[in-house]
Amino acid sequence: MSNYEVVMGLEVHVELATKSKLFCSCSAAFGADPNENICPACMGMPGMPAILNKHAVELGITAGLVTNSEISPVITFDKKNYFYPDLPTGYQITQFFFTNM
Amino acid sequence: MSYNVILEETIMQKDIPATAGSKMLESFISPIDATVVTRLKDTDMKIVGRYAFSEFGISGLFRDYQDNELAKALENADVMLCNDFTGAIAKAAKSCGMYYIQPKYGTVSRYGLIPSVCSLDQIGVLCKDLDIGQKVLEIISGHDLKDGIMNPDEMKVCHSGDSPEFPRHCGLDPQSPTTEVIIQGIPVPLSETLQVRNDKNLQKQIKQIICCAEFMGNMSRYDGVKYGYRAKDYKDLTEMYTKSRTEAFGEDVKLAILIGAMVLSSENYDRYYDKARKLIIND
Repeated sequence: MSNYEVVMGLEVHVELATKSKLFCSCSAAFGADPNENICPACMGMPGMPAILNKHAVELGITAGLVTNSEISPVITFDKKNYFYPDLPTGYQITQFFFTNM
Repeated sequence: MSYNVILEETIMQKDIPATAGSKMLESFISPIDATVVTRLKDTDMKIVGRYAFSEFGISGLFRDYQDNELAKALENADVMLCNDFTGAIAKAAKSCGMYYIQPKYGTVSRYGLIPSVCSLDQIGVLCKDLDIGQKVLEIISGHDLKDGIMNPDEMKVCHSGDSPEFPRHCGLDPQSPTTEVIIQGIPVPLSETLQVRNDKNLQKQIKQIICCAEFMGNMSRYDGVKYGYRAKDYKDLTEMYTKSRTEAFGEDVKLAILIGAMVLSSENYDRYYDKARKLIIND
């Protein structure tokens, strides 16, 4: 084992206290009946462009500042494709090509 | 003046089937009006019908459209609103004396447009009379909070017959509160120098790779679960997916999905998709 150097990465998650979801205007409140807080966009129907929640960006930047992190002036998003039953659209919106511009 | 407008089957009208020309969406009733539909309804323009050149418009990537296909589209109308992401409609319009006005990416809202290739999707105007086409384009253009990539600047329109261009810095305005989301087609600075501008063959290859890759992702939502076509007999979830998609998608859609899956696969990603992406960014 002494031939190996241990390298670990941490994936840190934070739940942002927004009123609505990240990419549509449905409520993000907990405790509603099943299928209450859904719309054509989060059901994965076609013709619904994702609209980023401005407050989520503000809170995300705040979380970055609190942890003394570097804040990028530009953010971009990409699609990550995978075909799986938990994913109505067949892709996630994530940050794959993201570089600090 | 009132003009008769035909909508491509990919443009959604509330309570009317939005089929995108596909068996997959034959039973899909649109829950909303697309922004372009709302804007037309606010004027005295008349929506007189719907038309599809091909399934999700993808055939334009593999073949030319014929003059009679365009003539049929405008048989009873002055203009047609359609998404010419392959450039095939503009090409055919030129050859039969019509015009296709390809607006700059982000000029016309894509809210309610069934997506095919997001980094190229843009509603344009097919017309016999440029002045009429321009008038209709002015009605449907302009900023819309329901589409995150829209250019909040004043309307900018390309010349008729131009084929779609790959978007570069569209909407990347940090001052604007409504241009935060851009999905794909994102420019990243790279140092490689490759000549794409004058190489038509290379351009065609790049377009096929990017189009199929993005198209495949946009087709993945059609799984037969919540809406759209579902096969009758199946024994489990996987077979329901497979049979539904096999029975409902046409040959060109399947071909594009296969190419898309190939160029994005881990074996081929660097050779095809990544290279194509770097080339359009550099040029």
